[in-house]
Amino acid sequence: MSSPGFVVSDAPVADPVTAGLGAGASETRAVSLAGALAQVGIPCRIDVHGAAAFLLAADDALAVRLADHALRRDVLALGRRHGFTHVAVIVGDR
Amino acid sequence: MHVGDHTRVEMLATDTDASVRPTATSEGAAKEVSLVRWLAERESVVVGYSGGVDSTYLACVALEALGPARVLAVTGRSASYPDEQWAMARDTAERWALPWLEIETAELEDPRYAANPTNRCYFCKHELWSRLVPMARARGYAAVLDGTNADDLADHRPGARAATEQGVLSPLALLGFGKHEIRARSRARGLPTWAQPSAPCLASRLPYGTPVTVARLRRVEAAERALRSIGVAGDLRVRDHGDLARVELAPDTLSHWLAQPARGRLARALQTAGYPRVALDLAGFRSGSLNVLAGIRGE
Repeated sequence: MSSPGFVVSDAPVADPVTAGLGAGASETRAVSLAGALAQVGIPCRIDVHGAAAFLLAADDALAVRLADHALRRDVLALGRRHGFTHVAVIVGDR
Repeated sequence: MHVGDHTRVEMLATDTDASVRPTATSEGAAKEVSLVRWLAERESVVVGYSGGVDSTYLACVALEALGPARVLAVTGRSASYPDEQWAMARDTAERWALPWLEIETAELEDPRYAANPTNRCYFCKHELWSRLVPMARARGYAAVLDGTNADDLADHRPGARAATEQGVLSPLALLGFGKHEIRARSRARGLPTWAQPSAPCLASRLPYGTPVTVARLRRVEAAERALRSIGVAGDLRVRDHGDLARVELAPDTLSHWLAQPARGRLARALQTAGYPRVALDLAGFRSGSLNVLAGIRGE
């Protein structure tokens, strides 16, 4: 079900964050998710808008890799585990 | 989506009669017979008509059941109503000789709506029905209807309360029509809306708490139009997170749009429409996505 070397569970580690989530808690979850992604070979910065996580990589490679359906599914599952209802990848930034 | 049911109804319609009349051989067709009967009992109706799948179907069945002298489709128009949807409503009304009236609504001038609370839809529908119901009464129509269907009842729909308060009836929900049945029956009738993606108002692209302004709505509309112009098909939403656009596409198209050169074209289209930052949602389109973001469950 998962990409090679990247096994995650759909089970949430906490209740989904809501719009009322404080900035501190939101930042903590973003840092936690960034760490988890780095561990599976996806280094990126994460911007947070409410319960949505936005992945921002230094180069084109992340978006290219995310064209793979299985990897997207795994990243989404990891996002859910860290309390994010939405995960998106930034593809344009100027 | 109950593809099996859908296909079965289509085949019945195609095989039996090119003009497509409801038959009692499928559940959806049987419900349509009940709908025609229900409408005939109302004697004359005004239908709140957005040009979407549900209200178009309802208006066209009402036209058949009651005739053009006793049906009026009314579209409320404001900055939150997409121009493309308006064009679809107009074209369908013309093609089907559906008596049609437009009225201007001013929900953006209501600060309770413009603040974009989680019950924003209530204030929008309150504005619509507050104009439409008295107009219908003044013209002598017996009932005012909307296109709410049975599936909608499980969603977060604060606008439904405004309809109830004004005595607006929802026959599709009342008779148990699900979305898939409405699409199947629409196709059987040759309605162009049968495969049309759902198109809620543009304010639904703004996260709750983000003030609804004409400028934001116009930017969202321009962004979605730009994406259609480069070939995005099917479900599409541009969710507005300030300067960042989060794009939700049909999940089976995501791999295409994440790969180059499509990704670059998509980003440029949105940047030209006014969003400096562009993101692709990895789950793709989700109806009620911003309800999920706000932690709202169906009611």
